[in-house]
Amino acid sequence: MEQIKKDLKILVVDDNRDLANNIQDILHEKGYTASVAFDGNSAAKLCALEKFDLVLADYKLPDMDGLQLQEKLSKLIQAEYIIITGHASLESASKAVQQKQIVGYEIKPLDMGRLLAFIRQGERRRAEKIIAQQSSHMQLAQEMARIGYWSFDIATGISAWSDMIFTILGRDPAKHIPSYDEFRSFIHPDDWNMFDQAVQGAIKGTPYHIEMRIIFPDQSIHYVAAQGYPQFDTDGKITGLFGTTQDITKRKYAEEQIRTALAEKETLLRELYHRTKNNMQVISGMLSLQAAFSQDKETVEILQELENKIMAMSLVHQKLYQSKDLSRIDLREYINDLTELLMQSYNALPDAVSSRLEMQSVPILIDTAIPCGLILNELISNSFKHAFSKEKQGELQIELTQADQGDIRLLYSDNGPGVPDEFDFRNRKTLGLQTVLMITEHQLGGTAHFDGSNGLSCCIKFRDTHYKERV
Amino acid sequence: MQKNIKILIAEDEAIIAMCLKMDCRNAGYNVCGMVAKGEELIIRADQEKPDIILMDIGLSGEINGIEAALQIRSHCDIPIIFMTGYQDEAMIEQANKIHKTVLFHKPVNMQDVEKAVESF
Repeated sequence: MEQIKKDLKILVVDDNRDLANNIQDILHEKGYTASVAFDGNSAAKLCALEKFDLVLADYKLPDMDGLQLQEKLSKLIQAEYIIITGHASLESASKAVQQKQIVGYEIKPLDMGRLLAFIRQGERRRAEKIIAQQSSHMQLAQEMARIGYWSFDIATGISAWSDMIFTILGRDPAKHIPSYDEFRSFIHPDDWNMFDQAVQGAIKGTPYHIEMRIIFPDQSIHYVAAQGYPQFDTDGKITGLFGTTQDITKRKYAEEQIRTALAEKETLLRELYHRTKNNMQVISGMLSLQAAFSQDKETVEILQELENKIMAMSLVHQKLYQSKDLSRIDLREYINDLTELLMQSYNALPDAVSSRLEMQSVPILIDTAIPCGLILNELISNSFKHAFSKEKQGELQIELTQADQGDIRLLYSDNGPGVPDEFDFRNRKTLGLQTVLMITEHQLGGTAHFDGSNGLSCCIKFRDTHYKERV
Repeated sequence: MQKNIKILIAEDEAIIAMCLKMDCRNAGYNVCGMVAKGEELIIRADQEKPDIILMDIGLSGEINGIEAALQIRSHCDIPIIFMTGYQDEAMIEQANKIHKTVLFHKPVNMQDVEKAVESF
């Protein structure tokens, strides 16, 4: 925004070079910045380079007259004009003053005192124009932001509202007289208490910033942000209040819509997890029933293994459905539950097989949780098939840690006989082993390391960053 | 281990109902009926006079499990084992208010059911 200049830049235009230089000198003495030009076109060239605030021009220039000059320069600069004229062109100069086109005219021979008075007048007019411009910008800004301002005088009890306040309150300025009670009556009764407390506080010196509901004559609800400040006299005594009221209805409704949309998304997502889980449980049930009707031991085992795999996946959906965060579950809780369910499924009696779990809480995405569950399912299933026997109390151990950098380490081990040194984990064509390697390396982008020397152990390292959060 | 305990099962999902029946039989219970609707449950409970009702809260039909349980409770005190797949706090609270009931989250562990049956 343009500032009001104290040091005015003046351009003197006169083909009488001595006179022009003379005026320039006097202006310099008075503290003004002044330049000179000796004809209209060179004046225009100067104005293209520098923004002059006031132009002092001779009416009769070699290439144009004073008013033509003004027209030319007005395209380049915003300035006030004073015309120096002889008696011959007095009439047109006088007309220009009447039309406020120029500040004034000075008739030759020049009186420097009067000329300086004109310059001061030009200075003032320029300042007024800038203030008017700023205040109209302010007005426009208030309209755009839908902010109204008000004041309240304690001694007289008189309130004053700007037009925008009426607009924000949905009231006609002709039908209402600004007052505290009038304003309060437009507020939603549930917000009266808050408003009263805020105003009482402001009268004691504490500014307020509150949001309230306004009831329009058509009963529609609108929202305002109201600010109030105490006003002090020179002795520091509070004489009144002033403040602003802003219409924030659009923002409030937009916020409300976002909240509703978010809640809807959550509900839908939860319902989806729930249904996925239910469908998987039905599939599990089918396999379980099929197993119950089968006489063949091998078929029963296959069906039970499939049931466990589905159960491992379904448990992730159950956990997601129950979790506050709809995209992550705690891997520790999940492994805890999964291990318990798998042991139940293998009918492991507590004194036959025990589990030792040492785990940190590790929140992970669904895309990481399901592969983890399937890996663990294969490992536990392998232990029940190959490691645990009737002769010895079986034990499975699970350790879960997450390093600061995000690396997750899952260590699984059993206390079975392990495998011989020459056992080649990578080239064994068993589905369980292939599944563990494939899921770890291909799907999780992690590493799997087996050791068969002391029971069987498998150390899996991966990160939860392999997938992006989707919901 | 025939315990000679009569159980009425209320579950709208057929496969799950079949699984429950199988699990109950394996646990030695006598399954006296399986229903899918709340209305049906009220009638069958009256006819069969089971020792225990094992029921899903979300049933098909007009009457949900809780309403059905309240109606049954109004004239007899057959112990009820609720099962639910939902995490609806208000509903769980309602269910817990009805006396002589327990509530398990699905999938239900049969050992928990057996313990509950013994406790009634």
